Amino acid sequence: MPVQYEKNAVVITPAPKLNYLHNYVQLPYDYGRPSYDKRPDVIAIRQTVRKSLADLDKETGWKEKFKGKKVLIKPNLVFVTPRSGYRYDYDIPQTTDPRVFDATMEVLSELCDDIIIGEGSGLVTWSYAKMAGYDRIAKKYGAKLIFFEEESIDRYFCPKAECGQEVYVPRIISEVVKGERLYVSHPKMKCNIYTGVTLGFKNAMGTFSCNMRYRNHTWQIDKKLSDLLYLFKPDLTVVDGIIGGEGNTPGPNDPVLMSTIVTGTNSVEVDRVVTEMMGFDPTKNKLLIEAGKRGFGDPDVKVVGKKKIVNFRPAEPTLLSERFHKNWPNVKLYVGHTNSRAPKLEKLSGNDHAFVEAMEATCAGGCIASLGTTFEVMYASYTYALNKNRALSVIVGPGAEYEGKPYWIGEDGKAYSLEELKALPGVKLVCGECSSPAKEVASLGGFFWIRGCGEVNNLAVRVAASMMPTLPGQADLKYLPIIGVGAIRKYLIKVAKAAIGDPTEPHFDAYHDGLYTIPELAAQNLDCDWVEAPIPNLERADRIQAVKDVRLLANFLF
Amino acid sequence: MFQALEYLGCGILWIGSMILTIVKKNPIGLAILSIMHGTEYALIGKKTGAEYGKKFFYSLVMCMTFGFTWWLPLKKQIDSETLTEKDFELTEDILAKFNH
Repeated sequence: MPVQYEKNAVVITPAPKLNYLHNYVQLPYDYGRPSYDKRPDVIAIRQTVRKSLADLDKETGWKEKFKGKKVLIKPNLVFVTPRSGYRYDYDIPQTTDPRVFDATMEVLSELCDDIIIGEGSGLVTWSYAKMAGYDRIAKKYGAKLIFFEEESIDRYFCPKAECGQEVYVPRIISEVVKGERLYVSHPKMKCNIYTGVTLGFKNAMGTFSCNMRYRNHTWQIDKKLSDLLYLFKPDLTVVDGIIGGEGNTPGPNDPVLMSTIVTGTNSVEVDRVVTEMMGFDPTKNKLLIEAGKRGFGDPDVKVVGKKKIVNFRPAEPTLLSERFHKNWPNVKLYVGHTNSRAPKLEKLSGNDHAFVEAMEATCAGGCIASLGTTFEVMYASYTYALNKNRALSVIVGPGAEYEGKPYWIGEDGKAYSLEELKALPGVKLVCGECSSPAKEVASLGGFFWIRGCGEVNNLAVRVAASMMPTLPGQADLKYLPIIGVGAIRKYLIKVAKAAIGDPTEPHFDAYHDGLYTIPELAAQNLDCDWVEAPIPNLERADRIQAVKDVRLLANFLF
Repeated sequence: MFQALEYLGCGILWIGSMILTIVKKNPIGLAILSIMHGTEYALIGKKTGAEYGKKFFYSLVMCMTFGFTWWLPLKKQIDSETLTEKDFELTEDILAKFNH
């Protein structure tokens, strides 16, 4: 059971006016020494975090609930990208600022002896933790640092969930689920291409193993993440809003000077407040709507402090925006869907822009979001100038049906048949498993047909290949060895655990986007938020399959 | 990556010098490397390592093995991350660039 607070509060604490643009992605070399402790930004951040948590304690008494308890604290480590990785002259604010995280750890370590820092970026968290300096923070406070994707998994059924009824989580999360360990979410204030914003409870995405991430990721991600709140929720949320991040995260985003820390005991309410501070309407954010619908918010929450509203540039899960066209004038989208959300194609020409947008939006969290992220990486890459005017046709979906034939709608409102797509100039990328009816159109003898359902790594590699010569993101080669070692380490651990029958990944069929149902439960379990569902012992054939389910990097690449 | 390549280059130099010493009985390579790296250590490697927070023995081994390819990146990082009060001032330029 999570901590029960008599009343919930959200505290907004402004930080002193300073330039915080040094080391917001990576800790400096002198972390842990007097010279670091004397830095004005470090002093100011520590004071702000301490004040915010003290004010929150006055309202909710959270410190008393945490005293002597075991704690799991989860930052948000996506890519750790210092400025040298891209053509920008600033660091990429995707990761919880290690200076802020250190300040929170300082407060928590005064209350608790057993603290675990846990994170799963889905890629190579071990490397990212080292690059950002989280290993040094763990060492300083005597905390254990664990990487979720290397952890064996436990299974739960959530009968009340709408789309996430079967959930696999790292074993350490079971301690949180069962109330043996408290959970602190420590996200960064930033936009997200899949969910609009990524804050307190969306941060739990990092607890999923790689294969779990892709389940229902394409258009039901808001439901999936809200369903996860039935299983576990943050007992404390600390939002790092010192330097915010705007734009198409998880692609390279831009810094926003926010100089604010937001803390709270109900993560849905914290997220609601911060969403508003970022200039978005929380009543229109699907993730918050879904969480609210399930009753995880608290209408009686007390908000302490003044909301500083700064309009963040939104993440755009679209290839039809003005910005995208400006950045990539010759990349054209052809989209056609037949799913239940798609508008019906009634004419072969003269479809208006709103129709094309509606067609694209029916699966905005799938290939479109992955493409948006990938093009953002390419835009920030040192080789952008070489690729800016590249002609590329991007074909998404199985085609909208008209008189029994599939058609893909172009931005000009015209519906294109397979033959017409084939005749288009330049490289043709066909995106997603569902787009197999158009796979014969894909350039390079089908190599540019991108398999999987919204699978970003596989997609990114092919987009990059279509723009040769190119440099990928994180082009600072000095980090290549540490990322390489991290990838191999992760792979070996996962394979070893799968081989002994204690896997880190569930089996995953990534070629469809169906719901994963659970067996019929006993009547007394139907009203439970979650039911433990131990994974059966794996026979030899199952273990071989579990090893095959482990991928070094992408689901379809290796 | 470049640092890894530089380390590899150093390794090749050491191995080459050792082969020269053993096969040709000519220790000139080893002598040059040792004297150069020893001088670098005494003049700058020891100080840079200590400033960065590396232990004495670690600095000695790394500097004797890799010379400037070890201490120069550390020195560059120290220089770029040694900040003064002025670096934390919120100037008009910063506000113009990052504020909304």
